[in-house]
Amino acid sequence: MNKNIKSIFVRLFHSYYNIYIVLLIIFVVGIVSHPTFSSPRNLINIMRQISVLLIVAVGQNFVILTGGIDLSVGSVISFISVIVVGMLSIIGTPLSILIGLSVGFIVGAINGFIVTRFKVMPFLATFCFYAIYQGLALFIDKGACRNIIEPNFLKIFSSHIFGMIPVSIFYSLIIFFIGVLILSRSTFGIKIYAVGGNEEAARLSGINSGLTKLLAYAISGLLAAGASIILSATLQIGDALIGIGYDLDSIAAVCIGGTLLTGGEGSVVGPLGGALIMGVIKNLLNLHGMSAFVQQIVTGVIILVAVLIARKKS
Amino acid sequence: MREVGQNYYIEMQSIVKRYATTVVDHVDFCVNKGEIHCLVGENGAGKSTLIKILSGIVQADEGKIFMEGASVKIDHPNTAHRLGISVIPQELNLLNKLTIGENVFLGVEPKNSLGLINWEELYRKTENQIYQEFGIKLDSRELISDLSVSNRQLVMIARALQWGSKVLILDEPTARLSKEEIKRLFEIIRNFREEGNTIIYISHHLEEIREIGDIVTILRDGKRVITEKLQNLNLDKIIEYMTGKKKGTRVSLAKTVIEDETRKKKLLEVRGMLNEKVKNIDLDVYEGEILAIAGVTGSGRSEIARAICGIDHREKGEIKLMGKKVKIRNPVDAIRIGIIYVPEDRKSQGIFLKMSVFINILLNKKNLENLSNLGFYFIRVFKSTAQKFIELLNIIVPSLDTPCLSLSGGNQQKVLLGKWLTVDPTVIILDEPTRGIDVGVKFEFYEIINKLAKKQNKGIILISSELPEIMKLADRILILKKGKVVKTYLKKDLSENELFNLIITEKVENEQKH
Repeated sequence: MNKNIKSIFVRLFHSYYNIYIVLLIIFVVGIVSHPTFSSPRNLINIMRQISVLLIVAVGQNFVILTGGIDLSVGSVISFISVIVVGMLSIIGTPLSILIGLSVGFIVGAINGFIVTRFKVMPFLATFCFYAIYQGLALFIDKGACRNIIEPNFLKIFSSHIFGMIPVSIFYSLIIFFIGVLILSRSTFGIKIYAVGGNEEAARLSGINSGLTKLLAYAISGLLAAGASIILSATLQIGDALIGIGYDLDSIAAVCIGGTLLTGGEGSVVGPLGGALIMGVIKNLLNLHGMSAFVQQIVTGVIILVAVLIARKKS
Repeated sequence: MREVGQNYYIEMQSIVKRYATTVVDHVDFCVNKGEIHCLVGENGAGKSTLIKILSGIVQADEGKIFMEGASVKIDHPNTAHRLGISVIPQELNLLNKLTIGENVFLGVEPKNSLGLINWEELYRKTENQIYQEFGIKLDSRELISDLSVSNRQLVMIARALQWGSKVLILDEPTARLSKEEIKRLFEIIRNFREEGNTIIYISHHLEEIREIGDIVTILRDGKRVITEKLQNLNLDKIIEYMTGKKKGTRVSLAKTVIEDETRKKKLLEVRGMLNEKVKNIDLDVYEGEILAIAGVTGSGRSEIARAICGIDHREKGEIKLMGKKVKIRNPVDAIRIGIIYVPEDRKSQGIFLKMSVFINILLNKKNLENLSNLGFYFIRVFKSTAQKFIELLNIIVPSLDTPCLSLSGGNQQKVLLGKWLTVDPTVIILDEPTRGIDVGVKFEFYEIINKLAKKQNKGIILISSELPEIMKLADRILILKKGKVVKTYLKKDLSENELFNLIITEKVENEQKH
């Protein structure tokens, strides 16, 4: 292989796990075991299903690379869903989106502020906000789930390109590529890896580690808000329980993708690999008509086996 | 020369270990009972791998190990322990949040009739053992984290003895000890030998090896060069075997040090700097000068540097750079105005082990800002800039993308230095720049440091616990004692012995006050 291409390949796919081989295996199993699995329609369907998770995981990847963790993303999705959908009919689409994204950025920044300023363990700090935003969402929502009737909003976030590709796929891939670009080609990306890899050395190198971490959490919050808007538009509801599960799923996707929870080491494209593996497994089990309960068990087992197979020998 | 098959106590026969390359290449290593056997070689010569094989941490690809004539298979550290082989590694692996006693008796705690740990006995036994073996009194209820490095080392040795070790492997044991502590350690090692036990001693400090060792095995590029009695070898000969080069081809630095009487421009002026660790520090650094800071461990050498660079907080004190008063509140300020600190502990404070070489060389605030546009950069620009410094410092790397983790200590240190030379600083503070680096690279460093001062007119502060290094490089020497400047001497007014005495007398006073 051309040395240059090889080096780009190594940088992009550098990963603790050779997860892409596993992904390939699962794909082959899918193609062999079910006739409709490889149909364009189904593949688009898989991408649509993982688009929200991918967006959240891209944000989560930033946080985990700094050595932190963001447990609040699921609640933030619910919280933003409730307030954005609540505001839609009052202040209109553009302003609601703007406010939703800003609130996401701010709640993320608050996470980061608590973690960096007061040295609270990221797990604890974000766990508290997980509870707070979930509670707030339920409090505002009062248990009622609102339907979205604003046509502009639906047009922007849940229409189809060329009449067949859901626009959410488009958004999620754009966000993913921006994430890759930032991590692999920007000085902020270097700072993220540096702070996660060796915070003291980063400080001595003149890097503001507090600000870097705070921004990572803010990005995670911002992307959770974006994911929330797309998810709400796709389901056409604003709901206080809409984001449940995205916290752990996004962490799993990032880890499956090869980022270490200890920070400082991980792939820039990992979130896509991780989200794809989770999405493809789920899709395949659905196609085979497995019940939701059994699906959970099987998903856990498959991911475990996948990770064991893909484990790089140290 | 020793050959295998003559009934040695430990016999490693034709050991081979391959990773990406062959790191140990058919090495025979034979150790007699009751000797202090030194193992030397440049970084990457295969010393640590050989020791790891002997202590069961890694397995050899080929070769056999015999102990007292019987073939043994050491496939796990526990096996090595059972055979009585203990390693005292450079990074002491004690449990820092447990007491001395708990560490010494870890896994072999004395039990009472109920099968519970008999704490009284454990602590009493520990204290007795340490007193008998080493002649010092330690409170065995003290936490490891509260101990000095030297005492931690004693605890490690005590633990090895507790396990009934007959063979002690010491890896760079003196790297972080003061002269006094080294003396004490040597006494302990000799006593251990008198009891009929065996020591394998690994060190970069050839003087030390000549002082303590009976016999030496020299490795180069994974092969054994020679095993010989130390009395038959002089220093030059050892270096020649290690590097494979004759003396004349090595750089002699003594000549290049310029005796410069005429005071040049004052670069750095520190007045009345004060914090918890350093008291009223006054110091000056002139253009083209190397100012050495000498003092025992804990005298505040690194702390001066950290305070100047805004890493640690300063209560009082004025800093002037080229006559102008400057404000340094944090490392960012220091880097901006051109005062940089190359820290002593490169693994924890300097290098980003998992990141690639070229990113490491450029990873500081100034480069990230200068070499990027709107926060984004071109890999090409980064790599070509890094390449210049890699060539300048003769850093040996397989590729620019190699993570620093897989570089040798010397090359890591060069990367760290290179990273700071990229910003073209005015004053460079080097904290133990050659610690744990093999002889050949050490000389390269001396040359680089000397060049920085004499050719490029940088001001250099050199912090070092190696007196020959100070004598070789410094123009002036600042003696530090408990965070205070005692006096600054011109190098030419001091001999190495006088310098040693100056530092040691402080040490004695220190101990009297305890």
